[in-house]
Amino acid sequence: MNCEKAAEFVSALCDGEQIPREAAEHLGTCGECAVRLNDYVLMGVELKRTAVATAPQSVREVSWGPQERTKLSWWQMWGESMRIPRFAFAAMLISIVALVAGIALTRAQARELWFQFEVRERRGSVAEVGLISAEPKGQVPDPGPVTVSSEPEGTLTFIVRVLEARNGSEKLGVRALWLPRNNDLTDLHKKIQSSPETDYWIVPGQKLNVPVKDYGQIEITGRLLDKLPDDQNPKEMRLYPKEGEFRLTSPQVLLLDGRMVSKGGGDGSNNTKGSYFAYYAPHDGFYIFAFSEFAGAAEGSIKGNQIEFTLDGRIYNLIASAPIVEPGITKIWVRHHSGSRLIEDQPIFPDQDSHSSMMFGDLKAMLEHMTKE
Amino acid sequence: MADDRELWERICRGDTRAFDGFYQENVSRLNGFLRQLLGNIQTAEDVAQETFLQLWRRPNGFHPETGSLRAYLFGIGRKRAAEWWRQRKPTADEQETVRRECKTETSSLVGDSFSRLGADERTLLWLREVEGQSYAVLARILDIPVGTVKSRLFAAREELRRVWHSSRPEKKVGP
Repeated sequence: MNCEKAAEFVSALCDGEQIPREAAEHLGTCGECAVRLNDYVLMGVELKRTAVATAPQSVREVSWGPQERTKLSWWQMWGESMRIPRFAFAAMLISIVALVAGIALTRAQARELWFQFEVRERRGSVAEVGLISAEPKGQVPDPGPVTVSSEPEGTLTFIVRVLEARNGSEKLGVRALWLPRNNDLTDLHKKIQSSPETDYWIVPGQKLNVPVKDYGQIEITGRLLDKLPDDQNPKEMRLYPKEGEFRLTSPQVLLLDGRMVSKGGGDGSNNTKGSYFAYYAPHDGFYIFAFSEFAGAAEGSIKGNQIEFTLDGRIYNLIASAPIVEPGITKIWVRHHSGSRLIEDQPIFPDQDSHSSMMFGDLKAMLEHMTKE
Repeated sequence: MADDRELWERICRGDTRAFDGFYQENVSRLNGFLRQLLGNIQTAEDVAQETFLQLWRRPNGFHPETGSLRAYLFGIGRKRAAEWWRQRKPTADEQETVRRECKTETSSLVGDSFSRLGADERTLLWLREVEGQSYAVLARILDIPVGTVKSRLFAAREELRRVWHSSRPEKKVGP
Protein backbone atom coordinates (compact mmCIF):
# COMPACT_ATOMS: atom_id res chain seq x y z
CA MET A 1 0.00 0.00 0.00
CA ASN A 2 1.39 3.42 -0.91
CA CYS A 3 0.17 6.94 -0.12
CA GLU A 4 -1.54 7.40 -3.46
CA LYS A 5 -3.65 4.30 -2.94
CA ALA A 6 -4.23 5.04 0.72
CA ALA A 7 -5.42 8.61 0.10
CA GLU A 8 -8.98 7.61 -0.74
CA PHE A 9 -9.17 5.52 2.44
CA VAL A 10 -8.20 8.61 4.42
CA SER A 11 -11.31 10.26 3.09
CA ALA A 12 -13.39 7.18 3.94
CA LEU A 13 -11.92 7.09 7.44
CA CYS A 14 -13.02 10.68 7.98
CA ASP A 15 -16.55 9.63 7.15
CA GLY A 16 -16.49 6.82 9.68
CA GLU A 17 -16.30 4.10 7.07
CA GLN A 18 -14.47 0.84 7.53
CA ILE A 19 -11.21 0.59 5.64
CA PRO A 20 -9.06 -2.41 4.68
CA ARG A 21 -6.47 -3.68 7.15
CA GLU A 22 -3.64 -2.88 4.72
CA ALA A 23 -4.74 0.73 4.46
CA ALA A 24 -5.17 1.03 8.21
CA GLU A 25 -1.66 -0.30 8.80
CA HIS A 26 -0.25 2.12 6.26
CA LEU A 27 -2.01 5.09 7.79
CA GLY A 28 -0.62 4.15 11.18
CA THR A 29 2.95 4.40 10.02
CA CYS A 30 2.87 7.01 7.21
CA GLY A 31 3.50 10.62 8.19
CA GLU A 32 2.23 12.06 4.92
CA CYS A 33 -1.10 10.21 5.22
CA ALA A 34 -1.35 11.37 8.82
CA VAL A 35 -1.00 14.98 7.62
CA ARG A 36 -3.71 14.40 5.00
CA LEU A 37 -6.03 12.93 7.64
CA ASN A 38 -5.38 15.88 9.88
CA ASP A 39 -6.12 18.31 7.04
CA TYR A 40 -9.37 16.60 6.20
CA VAL A 41 -10.50 16.75 9.81
CA LEU A 42 -9.53 20.40 10.06
CA MET A 43 -11.39 21.24 6.86
CA GLY A 44 -14.53 19.55 8.16
CA VAL A 45 -14.37 21.32 11.47
CA GLU A 46 -13.75 24.67 9.79
CA LEU A 47 -16.71 24.17 7.44
CA LYS A 48 -18.98 23.38 10.40
CA ARG A 49 -17.77 26.43 12.24
CA THR A 50 -18.29 28.62 9.19
CA ALA A 51 -21.82 27.25 8.77
CA VAL A 52 -22.75 28.22 12.31
CA ALA A 53 -20.98 31.58 12.14
CA THR A 54 -22.70 32.63 8.97
CA ALA A 55 -26.15 31.27 9.77
CA PRO A 56 -28.82 34.00 10.02
CA GLN A 57 -30.01 34.86 13.49
CA SER A 58 -33.63 34.51 12.55
CA VAL A 59 -35.68 32.84 9.94
CA ARG A 60 -38.49 34.19 7.85
CA GLU A 61 -41.90 33.77 9.37
CA VAL A 62 -44.20 31.94 7.05
CA SER A 63 -47.78 30.85 7.45
CA TRP A 64 -48.76 27.59 5.85
CA GLY A 65 -52.40 27.99 5.03
CA PRO A 66 -54.44 25.13 3.62
CA GLN A 67 -55.45 27.40 0.76
CA GLU A 68 -51.92 27.18 -0.50
CA ARG A 69 -52.24 23.58 -1.42
CA THR A 70 -52.76 22.54 -5.01
CA LYS A 71 -52.68 19.26 -6.82
CA LEU A 72 -50.80 18.80 -10.03
CA SER A 73 -52.56 17.37 -13.00
CA TRP A 74 -50.57 14.96 -15.13
CA TRP A 75 -49.97 17.54 -17.83
CA GLN A 76 -48.77 20.10 -15.32
CA MET A 77 -46.15 17.58 -14.21
CA TRP A 78 -44.76 17.80 -17.73
CA GLY A 79 -43.56 21.30 -16.94
CA GLU A 80 -41.95 20.27 -13.69
CA SER A 81 -38.46 18.92 -13.35
CA MET A 82 -38.32 15.17 -13.67
CA ARG A 83 -35.77 12.45 -13.04
CA ILE A 84 -35.91 11.03 -16.56
CA PRO A 85 -35.42 12.87 -19.83
CA ARG A 86 -38.58 14.42 -21.21
CA PHE A 87 -38.35 12.49 -24.46
CA ALA A 88 -38.24 9.28 -22.40
CA PHE A 89 -41.31 10.45 -20.51
CA ALA A 90 -43.04 11.19 -23.82
CA ALA A 91 -42.08 7.76 -25.14
CA MET A 92 -43.46 6.22 -21.97
CA LEU A 93 -46.76 8.06 -22.42
CA ILE A 94 -46.98 6.94 -26.03
CA SER A 95 -46.26 3.36 -24.96
CA ILE A 96 -48.99 3.51 -22.34
CA VAL A 97 -51.47 4.86 -24.87
CA ALA A 98 -50.47 2.15 -27.34
CA LEU A 99 -50.83 -0.52 -24.68
CA VAL A 100 -54.23 0.74 -23.62
CA ALA A 101 -55.34 0.88 -27.24
CA GLY A 102 -54.04 -2.65 -27.70
CA ILE A 103 -56.00 -3.85 -24.71
CA ALA A 104 -59.12 -2.11 -26.03
CA LEU A 105 -58.65 -3.73 -29.43
CA THR A 106 -58.11 -7.11 -27.85
CA ARG A 107 -61.26 -6.70 -25.87
CA ALA A 108 -63.18 -5.67 -28.94
CA GLN A 109 -61.88 -8.66 -30.84
CA ALA A 110 -62.63 -11.03 -28.01
CA ARG A 111 -66.21 -9.93 -27.43
CA GLU A 112 -67.59 -13.33 -28.56
CA LEU A 113 -66.26 -16.43 -30.19
CA TRP A 114 -68.40 -18.84 -32.15
CA PHE A 115 -67.90 -22.52 -32.67
CA GLN A 116 -69.00 -23.63 -36.12
CA PHE A 117 -69.21 -27.38 -36.29
CA GLU A 118 -70.04 -30.01 -38.83
CA VAL A 119 -71.41 -33.46 -38.09
CA ARG A 120 -70.92 -36.24 -40.62
CA GLU A 121 -72.85 -39.47 -40.49
CA ARG A 122 -71.18 -42.83 -40.97
CA ARG A 123 -71.56 -42.67 -44.75
CA GLY A 124 -69.57 -39.44 -44.77
CA SER A 125 -72.30 -37.03 -45.80
CA VAL A 126 -72.89 -33.91 -43.78
CA ALA A 127 -75.80 -34.35 -41.41
CA GLU A 128 -75.57 -31.00 -39.66
CA VAL A 129 -73.76 -27.70 -39.78
CA GLY A 130 -74.27 -25.78 -36.58
CA LEU A 131 -73.10 -22.57 -34.98
CA ILE A 132 -73.04 -22.05 -31.23
CA SER A 133 -71.31 -19.80 -28.76
CA ALA A 134 -67.76 -21.05 -28.20
CA GLU A 135 -67.56 -19.49 -24.74
CA PRO A 136 -70.79 -20.26 -22.94
CA LYS A 137 -71.27 -18.22 -19.80
CA GLY A 138 -73.03 -19.66 -16.80
CA GLN A 139 -75.71 -22.24 -17.31
CA VAL A 140 -75.64 -23.67 -20.83
CA PRO A 141 -79.18 -23.42 -22.18
CA ASP A 142 -81.20 -26.46 -23.08
CA PRO A 143 -80.35 -27.85 -26.47
CA GLY A 144 -82.18 -26.47 -29.45
CA PRO A 145 -83.89 -28.43 -32.18
CA VAL A 146 -82.99 -32.04 -32.63
CA THR A 147 -81.01 -32.85 -35.74
CA VAL A 148 -82.27 -35.87 -37.61
CA SER A 149 -80.61 -37.81 -40.35
CA SER A 150 -82.60 -40.45 -42.19
CA GLU A 151 -81.01 -43.50 -43.68
CA PRO A 152 -82.57 -46.55 -45.26
CA GLU A 153 -81.72 -48.59 -42.15
CA GLY A 154 -83.08 -46.20 -39.65
CA THR A 155 -82.94 -42.70 -38.20
CA LEU A 156 -80.05 -40.99 -36.46
CA THR A 157 -80.81 -38.11 -34.20
CA PHE A 158 -78.39 -36.05 -32.16
CA ILE A 159 -77.82 -32.85 -30.21
CA VAL A 160 -74.47 -31.06 -29.93
CA ARG A 161 -73.78 -28.18 -27.58
CA VAL A 162 -70.71 -26.41 -26.19
CA LEU A 163 -70.43 -26.76 -22.41
CA GLU A 164 -67.12 -25.06 -21.73
CA ALA A 165 -64.07 -23.52 -23.38
CA ARG A 166 -60.56 -23.89 -21.98
CA ASN A 167 -57.09 -23.33 -23.43
CA GLY A 168 -58.39 -23.18 -26.98
CA SER A 169 -60.37 -26.41 -26.72
CA GLU A 170 -64.12 -26.81 -26.61
CA LYS A 171 -65.94 -29.18 -24.33
CA LEU A 172 -68.88 -30.60 -26.20
CA GLY A 173 -71.92 -32.31 -24.79
CA VAL A 174 -73.19 -34.86 -27.32
CA ARG A 175 -76.42 -36.84 -27.23
CA ALA A 176 -76.86 -39.28 -30.12
CA LEU A 177 -79.53 -41.91 -30.66
CA TRP A 178 -79.91 -44.46 -33.41
CA LEU A 179 -83.38 -45.81 -34.07
CA PRO A 180 -83.44 -48.68 -36.57
CA ARG A 181 -86.15 -48.74 -39.25
CA ASN A 182 -89.72 -49.35 -38.11
CA ASN A 183 -89.02 -47.89 -34.67
CA ASP A 184 -91.55 -45.52 -33.27
CA LEU A 185 -90.39 -42.01 -34.18
CA THR A 186 -92.99 -40.18 -32.17
CA ASP A 187 -91.71 -38.02 -29.33
CA LEU A 188 -88.27 -38.09 -30.93
CA HIS A 189 -87.37 -34.84 -29.21
CA LYS A 190 -88.17 -36.22 -25.80
CA LYS A 191 -86.29 -39.43 -26.52
CA ILE A 192 -83.07 -37.74 -27.50
CA GLN A 193 -83.27 -35.29 -24.64
CA SER A 194 -83.68 -38.06 -22.14
CA SER A 195 -80.74 -40.02 -23.53
CA PRO A 196 -77.39 -39.62 -21.69
CA GLU A 197 -75.11 -36.78 -22.66
CA THR A 198 -71.42 -37.58 -23.07
CA ASP A 199 -68.68 -34.97 -22.76
CA TYR A 200 -65.86 -34.69 -25.28
CA TRP A 201 -63.00 -32.21 -25.65
CA ILE A 202 -62.38 -31.12 -29.20
CA VAL A 203 -59.58 -28.98 -30.56
CA PRO A 204 -60.91 -26.73 -33.33
CA GLY A 205 -59.59 -27.97 -36.63
CA GLN A 206 -59.29 -31.58 -35.49
CA LYS A 207 -61.73 -34.48 -35.91
CA LEU A 208 -63.69 -36.01 -33.11
CA ASN A 209 -65.28 -39.46 -33.50
CA VAL A 210 -68.29 -40.07 -31.31
CA PRO A 211 -69.53 -43.65 -30.97
CA VAL A 212 -73.28 -44.18 -31.27
CA LYS A 213 -74.76 -47.40 -29.94
CA ASP A 214 -75.81 -49.86 -32.66
CA TYR A 215 -74.88 -47.34 -35.34
CA GLY A 216 -71.14 -46.86 -35.53
CA GLN A 217 -69.77 -43.39 -35.11
CA ILE A 218 -70.38 -39.85 -36.18
CA GLU A 219 -67.57 -37.44 -36.95
CA ILE A 220 -67.52 -33.91 -35.57
CA THR A 221 -65.20 -31.18 -36.79
CA GLY A 222 -65.31 -27.53 -35.93
CA ARG A 223 -63.60 -24.18 -36.13
CA LEU A 224 -63.66 -20.98 -34.12
CA LEU A 225 -65.08 -17.81 -35.61
CA ASP A 226 -64.59 -14.39 -34.10
CA LYS A 227 -67.85 -13.16 -35.59
CA LEU A 228 -71.02 -14.61 -36.90
CA PRO A 229 -71.09 -15.49 -40.59
CA ASP A 230 -72.77 -12.79 -42.63
CA ASP A 231 -75.91 -14.81 -43.24
CA GLN A 232 -76.41 -15.49 -39.54
CA ASN A 233 -75.41 -12.21 -38.04
CA PRO A 234 -78.44 -9.97 -37.61
CA LYS A 235 -76.17 -6.93 -37.63
CA GLU A 236 -74.73 -7.87 -40.97
CA MET A 237 -77.85 -9.31 -42.54
CA ARG A 238 -78.00 -8.29 -46.15
CA LEU A 239 -81.17 -7.22 -47.86
CA TYR A 240 -80.48 -9.69 -50.66
CA PRO A 241 -78.70 -13.06 -50.39
CA LYS A 242 -75.24 -13.48 -51.84
CA GLU A 243 -74.76 -13.97 -55.55
CA GLY A 244 -75.54 -17.56 -56.57
CA GLU A 245 -77.52 -18.32 -53.41
CA PHE A 246 -81.16 -18.31 -52.40
CA ARG A 247 -82.38 -17.68 -48.91
CA LEU A 248 -85.67 -18.35 -47.16
CA THR A 249 -86.42 -16.26 -44.11
CA SER A 250 -89.27 -17.19 -41.84
CA PRO A 251 -92.10 -16.78 -41.45
CA GLN A 252 -93.46 -17.64 -44.87
CA VAL A 253 -97.04 -17.44 -45.97
CA LEU A 254 -98.65 -19.54 -48.71
CA LEU A 255 -101.61 -17.97 -50.47
CA LEU A 256 -104.03 -19.74 -52.80
CA ASP A 257 -106.12 -17.42 -54.91
CA GLY A 258 -105.38 -14.67 -52.44
CA ARG A 259 -106.35 -16.63 -49.34
CA MET A 260 -103.85 -17.88 -46.82
CA VAL A 261 -103.34 -21.60 -46.87
CA SER A 262 -100.63 -21.86 -44.24
CA LYS A 263 -97.98 -19.84 -42.44
CA GLY A 264 -94.75 -20.56 -40.63
CA GLY A 265 -92.05 -22.47 -42.45
CA GLY A 266 -88.40 -22.18 -41.62
CA ASP A 267 -85.06 -20.60 -42.42
CA GLY A 268 -82.29 -21.74 -44.70
CA SER A 269 -80.15 -21.04 -47.71
CA ASN A 270 -78.38 -22.94 -50.45
CA ASN A 271 -76.95 -22.57 -53.92
CA THR A 272 -79.35 -21.70 -56.69
CA LYS A 273 -77.62 -24.23 -58.92
CA GLY A 274 -78.62 -27.84 -58.25
CA SER A 275 -80.48 -27.25 -54.98
CA TYR A 276 -84.12 -27.16 -54.03
CA PHE A 277 -86.24 -26.02 -51.17
CA ALA A 278 -89.63 -27.38 -50.26
CA TYR A 279 -92.38 -25.73 -48.32
CA TYR A 280 -94.56 -28.16 -46.43
CA ALA A 281 -98.19 -27.16 -45.90
CA PRO A 282 -100.02 -29.39 -43.40
CA HIS A 283 -102.64 -31.68 -44.97
CA ASP A 284 -101.62 -30.40 -48.38
CA GLY A 285 -98.08 -31.65 -48.96
CA PHE A 286 -94.84 -30.24 -50.30
CA TYR A 287 -94.28 -27.43 -52.78
CA ILE A 288 -90.87 -28.08 -54.27
CA PHE A 289 -88.99 -25.12 -55.71
CA ALA A 290 -85.83 -24.96 -57.80
CA PHE A 291 -84.13 -22.36 -59.95
CA SER A 292 -83.79 -24.68 -62.87
CA GLU A 293 -86.36 -26.73 -64.73
CA PHE A 294 -87.00 -30.24 -63.37
CA ALA A 295 -89.36 -33.07 -64.10
CA GLY A 296 -93.03 -32.30 -63.46
CA ALA A 297 -92.38 -28.66 -62.47
CA ALA A 298 -94.26 -25.59 -63.65
CA GLU A 299 -92.60 -22.28 -64.29
CA GLY A 300 -93.33 -19.50 -61.90
CA SER A 301 -91.98 -16.03 -61.31
CA ILE A 302 -90.05 -14.56 -58.45
CA LYS A 303 -89.65 -10.96 -57.46
CA GLY A 304 -88.08 -9.89 -54.22
CA ASN A 305 -89.64 -11.91 -51.43
CA GLN A 306 -92.59 -13.20 -53.48
CA ILE A 307 -93.00 -16.25 -55.65
CA GLU A 308 -96.04 -16.57 -57.87
CA PHE A 309 -96.98 -19.75 -59.70
CA THR A 310 -100.02 -21.43 -61.17
CA LEU A 311 -100.98 -25.09 -60.66
CA ASP A 312 -104.15 -26.63 -61.99
CA GLY A 313 -105.34 -23.19 -62.99
CA ARG A 314 -105.10 -21.76 -59.51
CA ILE A 315 -102.76 -18.97 -58.53
CA TYR A 316 -100.39 -19.48 -55.61
CA ASN A 317 -98.15 -17.00 -53.82
CA LEU A 318 -95.38 -17.87 -51.41
CA ILE A 319 -94.27 -14.81 -49.50
CA ALA A 320 -91.12 -14.78 -47.37
CA SER A 321 -89.94 -12.22 -44.82
CA ALA A 322 -87.00 -11.08 -46.93
CA PRO A 323 -85.87 -11.21 -50.57
CA ILE A 324 -85.30 -14.79 -51.69
CA VAL A 325 -82.78 -14.24 -54.45
CA GLU A 326 -80.65 -11.44 -55.77
CA PRO A 327 -82.27 -9.01 -58.22
CA GLY A 328 -82.17 -10.27 -61.80
CA ILE A 329 -83.40 -13.80 -61.14
CA THR A 330 -87.03 -13.85 -62.15
CA LYS A 331 -87.81 -17.47 -62.97
CA ILE A 332 -88.46 -20.38 -60.63
CA TRP A 333 -89.89 -23.84 -61.08
CA VAL A 334 -92.33 -25.48 -58.73
CA ARG A 335 -93.94 -28.87 -58.32
CA HIS A 336 -96.49 -30.07 -55.80
CA HIS A 337 -96.03 -33.36 -53.95
CA SER A 338 -98.88 -34.52 -51.78
CA GLY A 339 -98.33 -36.64 -48.68
CA SER A 340 -96.48 -36.18 -45.46
CA ARG A 341 -93.09 -37.47 -46.67
CA LEU A 342 -91.06 -36.02 -49.48
CA ILE A 343 -88.34 -38.62 -49.57
CA GLU A 344 -88.17 -42.23 -48.50
CA ASP A 345 -87.63 -42.93 -44.83
CA GLN A 346 -88.32 -39.35 -43.93
CA PRO A 347 -89.45 -39.30 -40.32
CA ILE A 348 -92.86 -37.94 -39.54
CA PHE A 349 -93.00 -35.66 -36.56
CA PRO A 350 -96.01 -35.54 -34.29
CA ASP A 351 -96.60 -31.87 -34.95
CA GLN A 352 -96.27 -32.20 -38.71
CA ASP A 353 -99.99 -31.95 -39.24
CA SER A 354 -100.22 -28.62 -37.47
CA HIS A 355 -97.05 -26.81 -38.50
CA SER A 356 -95.62 -25.85 -41.83
CA SER A 357 -91.92 -26.46 -42.35
CA MET A 358 -89.13 -26.06 -44.87
CA MET A 359 -86.72 -28.58 -46.37
CA PHE A 360 -83.49 -27.95 -48.30
CA GLY A 361 -81.21 -30.25 -50.26
CA ASP A 362 -79.78 -31.53 -53.49
CA LEU A 363 -82.41 -31.54 -56.22
CA LYS A 364 -81.15 -34.57 -58.10
CA ALA A 365 -80.79 -36.73 -54.97
CA MET A 366 -84.19 -35.68 -53.77
CA LEU A 367 -85.84 -36.60 -57.08
CA GLU A 368 -84.16 -39.99 -57.00
CA HIS A 369 -85.43 -40.75 -53.52
CA MET A 370 -88.78 -39.05 -53.76
CA THR A 371 -91.57 -41.13 -52.32
CA LYS A 372 -94.17 -42.56 -54.64
CA GLU A 373 -97.00 -41.40 -52.46
CA MET B 1 -37.74 6.74 9.93
CA ALA B 2 -40.98 5.99 11.74
CA ASP B 3 -41.10 9.64 12.84
CA ASP B 4 -40.50 10.79 9.31
CA ARG B 5 -43.31 8.57 8.08
CA GLU B 6 -45.71 9.96 10.64
CA LEU B 7 -44.58 13.51 9.96
CA TRP B 8 -44.99 13.00 6.24
CA GLU B 9 -48.48 11.63 6.68
CA ARG B 10 -49.41 14.68 8.73
CA ILE B 11 -47.94 16.98 6.09
CA CYS B 12 -49.86 15.16 3.38
CA ARG B 13 -53.03 15.65 5.40
CA GLY B 14 -52.33 19.39 5.45
CA ASP B 15 -51.32 19.63 9.12
CA THR B 16 -49.96 23.18 9.26
CA ARG B 17 -48.47 22.78 12.76
CA ALA B 18 -46.53 19.70 11.72
CA PHE B 19 -45.17 21.43 8.65
CA ASP B 20 -44.28 24.58 10.53
CA GLY B 21 -42.30 22.49 13.01
CA PHE B 22 -40.47 20.84 10.14
CA TYR B 23 -39.79 24.27 8.64
CA GLN B 24 -38.42 25.75 11.85
CA GLU B 25 -36.15 22.78 12.37
CA ASN B 26 -34.68 22.73 8.88
CA VAL B 27 -34.86 26.16 7.30
CA SER B 28 -31.53 27.41 8.69
CA ARG B 29 -29.71 24.32 7.57
CA LEU B 30 -31.26 24.49 4.14
CA ASN B 31 -30.37 28.17 3.91
CA GLY B 32 -26.78 27.37 4.74
CA PHE B 33 -26.64 24.61 2.19
CA LEU B 34 -28.25 26.71 -0.54
CA ARG B 35 -25.96 29.61 0.21
CA GLN B 36 -23.07 27.42 -0.82
CA LEU B 37 -24.80 26.70 -4.09
CA LEU B 38 -26.19 30.13 -4.85
CA GLY B 39 -23.63 32.50 -3.44
CA ASN B 40 -25.63 34.90 -1.28
CA ILE B 41 -27.95 34.83 1.64
CA GLN B 42 -30.90 36.56 0.00
CA THR B 43 -31.08 34.24 -2.96
CA ALA B 44 -30.54 31.21 -0.75
CA GLU B 45 -33.43 32.26 1.50
CA ASP B 46 -35.68 32.83 -1.52
CA VAL B 47 -34.89 29.43 -2.96
CA ALA B 48 -35.27 27.79 0.44
CA GLN B 49 -38.68 29.42 0.72
CA GLU B 50 -39.66 28.07 -2.68
CA THR B 51 -38.41 24.65 -1.68
CA PHE B 52 -40.57 24.52 1.42
CA LEU B 53 -43.50 25.94 -0.48
CA GLN B 54 -43.18 23.25 -3.13
CA LEU B 55 -43.11 20.54 -0.49
CA TRP B 56 -46.17 22.00 1.21
CA ARG B 57 -48.23 22.59 -1.89
CA ARG B 58 -47.37 19.35 -3.66
CA PRO B 59 -46.54 16.76 -1.05
CA ASN B 60 -45.63 13.83 -3.24
CA GLY B 61 -42.62 11.75 -4.13
CA PHE B 62 -41.25 11.07 -0.65
CA HIS B 63 -40.82 7.42 0.36
CA PRO B 64 -39.79 7.02 4.00
CA GLU B 65 -38.16 3.67 3.32
CA THR B 66 -35.62 5.24 0.95
CA GLY B 67 -34.28 8.06 3.12
CA SER B 68 -35.04 10.81 5.59
CA LEU B 69 -37.43 13.66 5.00
CA ARG B 70 -34.58 16.13 5.47
CA ALA B 71 -32.58 14.45 2.75
CA TYR B 72 -35.62 14.65 0.53
CA LEU B 73 -35.93 18.35 1.33
CA PHE B 74 -32.28 18.96 0.50
CA GLY B 75 -32.71 17.07 -2.74
CA ILE B 76 -35.55 19.38 -3.74
CA GLY B 77 -33.49 22.37 -2.66
CA ARG B 78 -30.56 21.28 -4.79
CA LYS B 79 -32.82 20.95 -7.84
CA ARG B 80 -34.41 24.33 -7.25
CA ALA B 81 -30.97 25.88 -6.96
CA ALA B 82 -29.99 24.27 -10.25
CA GLU B 83 -33.18 25.66 -11.83
CA TRP B 84 -32.37 29.07 -10.45
CA TRP B 85 -28.99 28.94 -12.12
CA ARG B 86 -30.52 27.74 -15.39
CA GLN B 87 -33.01 30.59 -15.41
CA ARG B 88 -30.34 33.12 -14.58
CA LYS B 89 -27.84 31.82 -17.18
CA PRO B 90 -25.05 33.57 -15.28
CA THR B 91 -22.07 34.98 -17.09
CA ALA B 92 -18.50 34.32 -16.04
CA ASP B 93 -18.48 37.71 -14.29
CA GLU B 94 -21.54 36.78 -12.25
CA GLN B 95 -19.93 33.49 -11.25
CA GLU B 96 -16.93 35.40 -10.07
CA THR B 97 -19.17 37.79 -8.17
CA VAL B 98 -20.79 34.84 -6.44
CA ARG B 99 -17.40 33.50 -5.48
CA ARG B 100 -16.37 36.88 -4.14
CA GLU B 101 -19.56 37.13 -2.13
CA CYS B 102 -18.96 33.65 -0.73
CA LYS B 103 -15.47 34.66 0.10
CA THR B 104 -16.69 37.70 1.88
CA GLU B 105 -19.25 35.79 3.86
CA THR B 106 -16.79 33.20 5.03
CA SER B 107 -14.13 34.17 7.43
CA SER B 108 -11.33 31.67 7.17
CA LEU B 109 -8.82 30.35 4.71
CA VAL B 110 -10.69 27.08 4.52
CA GLY B 111 -13.89 29.01 3.96
CA ASP B 112 -12.26 31.09 1.25
CA SER B 113 -10.89 28.00 -0.40
CA PHE B 114 -14.26 26.30 -0.14
CA SER B 115 -15.90 29.17 -2.00
CA ARG B 116 -13.50 28.66 -4.86
CA LEU B 117 -14.58 25.08 -5.47
CA GLY B 118 -17.07 24.08 -8.10
CA ALA B 119 -20.76 23.91 -7.21
CA ASP B 120 -20.83 20.09 -7.22
CA GLU B 121 -17.84 19.88 -4.90
CA ARG B 122 -19.28 22.51 -2.56
CA THR B 123 -22.63 20.73 -2.47
CA LEU B 124 -21.10 17.39 -1.66
CA LEU B 125 -18.74 18.63 0.97
CA TRP B 126 -21.36 20.77 2.64
CA LEU B 127 -23.89 17.97 2.83
CA ARG B 128 -21.27 15.61 4.22
CA GLU B 129 -19.31 17.80 6.56
CA VAL B 130 -21.94 20.23 7.76
CA GLU B 131 -25.13 18.23 7.41
CA GLY B 132 -23.51 14.90 8.21
CA GLN B 133 -25.44 13.04 5.57
CA SER B 134 -24.49 9.42 4.95
CA TYR B 135 -23.22 8.12 1.64
CA ALA B 136 -26.60 6.53 0.93
CA VAL B 137 -28.48 9.78 1.54
CA LEU B 138 -25.97 11.75 -0.49
CA ALA B 139 -26.45 9.31 -3.32
CA ARG B 140 -30.20 9.89 -3.13
CA ILE B 141 -29.96 13.67 -2.93
CA LEU B 142 -27.48 13.92 -5.76
CA ASP B 143 -28.87 11.11 -7.91
CA ILE B 144 -25.57 9.30 -8.16
CA PRO B 145 -24.36 5.84 -7.06
CA VAL B 146 -22.90 5.40 -3.57
CA GLY B 147 -19.52 4.44 -5.03
CA THR B 148 -19.46 7.69 -6.94
CA VAL B 149 -20.28 9.59 -3.75
CA LYS B 150 -17.23 8.08 -2.09
CA SER B 151 -14.85 8.88 -4.95
CA ARG B 152 -16.26 12.37 -5.48
CA LEU B 153 -15.95 13.16 -1.80
CA PHE B 154 -12.33 12.18 -1.88
CA ALA B 155 -11.78 14.30 -5.00
CA ALA B 156 -13.56 17.29 -3.44
CA ARG B 157 -11.50 17.03 -0.25
CA GLU B 158 -8.32 16.79 -2.24
CA GLU B 159 -9.30 19.84 -4.28
CA LEU B 160 -10.21 21.83 -1.19
CA ARG B 161 -6.96 20.82 0.42
CA ARG B 162 -5.02 21.84 -2.70
CA VAL B 163 -6.70 25.26 -2.91
CA TRP B 164 -6.36 25.77 0.83
CA HIS B 165 -2.66 24.94 0.82
CA SER B 166 -2.03 26.97 -2.30
CA SER B 167 -3.36 29.99 -0.42
CA ARG B 168 -0.69 29.24 2.22
CA PRO B 169 2.41 29.15 0.07
CA GLU B 170 4.63 28.87 3.05
CA LYS B 171 3.28 25.35 3.78
CA LYS B 172 4.46 22.49 1.64
CA VAL B 173 1.87 20.00 0.49
CA GLY B 174 2.70 16.48 -0.60
CA PRO B 175 5.99 14.73 -0.93
